[in-house]
Amino acid sequence: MIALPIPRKLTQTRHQKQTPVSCPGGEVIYAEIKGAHIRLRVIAADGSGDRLLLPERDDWIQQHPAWSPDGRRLAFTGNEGFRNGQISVYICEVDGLRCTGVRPLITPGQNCWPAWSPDGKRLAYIGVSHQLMLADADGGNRRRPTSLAGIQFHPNWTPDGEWIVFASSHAGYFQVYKIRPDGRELTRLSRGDGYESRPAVSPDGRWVAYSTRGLDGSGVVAAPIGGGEPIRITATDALDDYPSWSRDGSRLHFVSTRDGGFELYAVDPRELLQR
Amino acid sequence: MIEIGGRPFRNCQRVGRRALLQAGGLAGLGLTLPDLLQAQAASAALPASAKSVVLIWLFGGPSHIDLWDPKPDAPLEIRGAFRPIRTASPDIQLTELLPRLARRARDFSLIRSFHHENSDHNVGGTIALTGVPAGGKLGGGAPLPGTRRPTLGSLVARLRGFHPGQPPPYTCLGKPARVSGGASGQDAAGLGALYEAFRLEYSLEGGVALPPEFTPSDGISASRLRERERLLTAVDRLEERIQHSSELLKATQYHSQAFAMLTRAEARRAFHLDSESEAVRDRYGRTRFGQSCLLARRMVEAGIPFVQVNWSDHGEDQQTSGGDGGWDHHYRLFEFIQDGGFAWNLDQGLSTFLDDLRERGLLDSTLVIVMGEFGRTPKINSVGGRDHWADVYTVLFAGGGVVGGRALGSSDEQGGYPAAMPVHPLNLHATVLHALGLDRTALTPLGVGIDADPILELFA
Repeated sequence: MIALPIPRKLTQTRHQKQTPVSCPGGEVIYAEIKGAHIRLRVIAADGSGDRLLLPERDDWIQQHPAWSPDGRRLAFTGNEGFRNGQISVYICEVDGLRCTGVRPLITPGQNCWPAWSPDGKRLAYIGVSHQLMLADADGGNRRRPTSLAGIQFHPNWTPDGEWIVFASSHAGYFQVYKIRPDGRELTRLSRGDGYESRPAVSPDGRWVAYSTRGLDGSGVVAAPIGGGEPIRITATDALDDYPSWSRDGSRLHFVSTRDGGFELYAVDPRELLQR
Repeated sequence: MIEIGGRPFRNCQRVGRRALLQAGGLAGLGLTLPDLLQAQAASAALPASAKSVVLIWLFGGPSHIDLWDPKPDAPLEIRGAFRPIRTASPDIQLTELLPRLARRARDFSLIRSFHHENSDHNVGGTIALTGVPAGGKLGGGAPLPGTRRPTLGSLVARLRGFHPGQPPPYTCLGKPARVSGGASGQDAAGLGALYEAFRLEYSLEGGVALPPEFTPSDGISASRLRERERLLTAVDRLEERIQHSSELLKATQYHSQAFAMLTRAEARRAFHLDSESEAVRDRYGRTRFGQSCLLARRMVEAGIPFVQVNWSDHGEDQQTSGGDGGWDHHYRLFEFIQDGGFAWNLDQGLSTFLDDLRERGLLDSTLVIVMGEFGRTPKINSVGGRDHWADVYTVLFAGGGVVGGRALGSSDEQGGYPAAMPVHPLNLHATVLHALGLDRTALTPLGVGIDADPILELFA
């Protein structure tokens, strides 16, 4: 039996954090909740150099960063100019982690959690009432690929573009599923009986990491996208949440309260997943 | 039993409602020594199950269905997305968002049949904290008719009395909680400034902060340590002045409270979180709420009879106007509430608070109450949230003589209305005074009587 790897702490600010995402250059973007704001910040791979990603913007909310496949554009959830509950998917061009041309892509409403398709031609996102949506890369041609009931969260694409992986409560409670972009072949991937959410597809397309919570604690697990038993990567009696992969698959970043605050951690899952 | 807002609340007394509605009408009588002695004498005659009360105020309206009162058999658009879980008590199910509290369910009881008559944040908050809407403000800021009634902590302070040199009887951790139209229902009203809350604030950046008027400001810009040393020096000087002059007599009543807090060594220690171990601070969670719960425990140890912990400064969440993380989840409820900042934070901070009180032998003498101003609509709205709902909601009670492990009262099968044992915030106010052994009839001559019965089932 392989012992669980020891995570490395990357931040020390204690403020609540969400959705770490690896950048093409190895940095990590995350959302930090501080008082009345949720703002995107960026750190180097070793945790140094923590700074606001978009210091010139005054959004009350910036969440859910998502890179385009070519690493030149970033989509995120924002609400610049709105303080009435409305949010929108924004995009910007990025050069050396300098963001320019920030603009709304999908007009205000309740649109969030963008995820680019691997060919860069489409975006999956979560629309009004937490429904899984698709749009073309220019924000047009919006449609619902599935009429699932319940709440959907956190869409991801597999690298071959064949599947969208997401969390859904349609069967009663949150579990992780995959579905074809045309709405066919809904398949459950998580196997637990706890709260299973925040899926993140590995760069090689073999695994989906997700967070699981139950009576005995929480952790990050990875399940084969082709089906099979999940493998536990982290375990804590605190909260491990928001797993995401580094671009080379050598690290899983996640948010944890294991030391009291909400900090970013990195862990190497490769030994556990080699089989 | 009489009715407010078309539904009943429990009352077996015959004290006139007119007195209730004239709350604060005798405000000018508030501060005489005979009144104090009378109130104290009356309270001393009653048995008490609690020495202190800690009110945890979740402003914004937490969703009862998604936390405390799951409805697994209701249709999907009502039951929501969170699974009910078993707890240490066969009587209680919670949702999966609260696993730590589930393991401690024998430490608390839930009343799932609270209700009142108004689902505006400020009016609902005013009812929850003062018992009546009179004199409150609407969420938009417009005033309501009637005379303002004191907030619950101020009533306790009035009955317990304030003594120079003793810690202030009512301490609140946080500013008056507000929505975009302002704050309401959180002051001493006609009882006078002496019975206002002594407010401290905790933030991750600044630690524990005193009210601005007591924070040294003359050119201090060095390290926090130097700042604290300076504060303590200033306090020592103040103590000298108080002992050797009549300055105290000239100070305002509110300042007298604060002076007491600052000059009494054990009271002063209560807000030094630095003296707690890192492990203890981590256990509570390094969040505003977690550290405020730890501060509350220290306030209880210092002998403060009423401590209020405000979850946030605003009722609204970050997505709604002006919010800083309140429980007003009209939008994306199922994303926000399961996120670390809400249910997880509540589960961790509150569980640790209950454990810590128990381990220190304080839980039996400390009544802990967790509530918001109302619940949320049974039916999920079109933008993935739930709206305001005062027709039924849940309040948690622990310690202070409360028998744990029970769900008292109930909501109907869709979590829409009380199905059994309807209770009103006025009953909660009577319960607090009952637990503290304070005679609520002593409030009647002051025009702030409580025309409702305590919820004795909690203690049975």
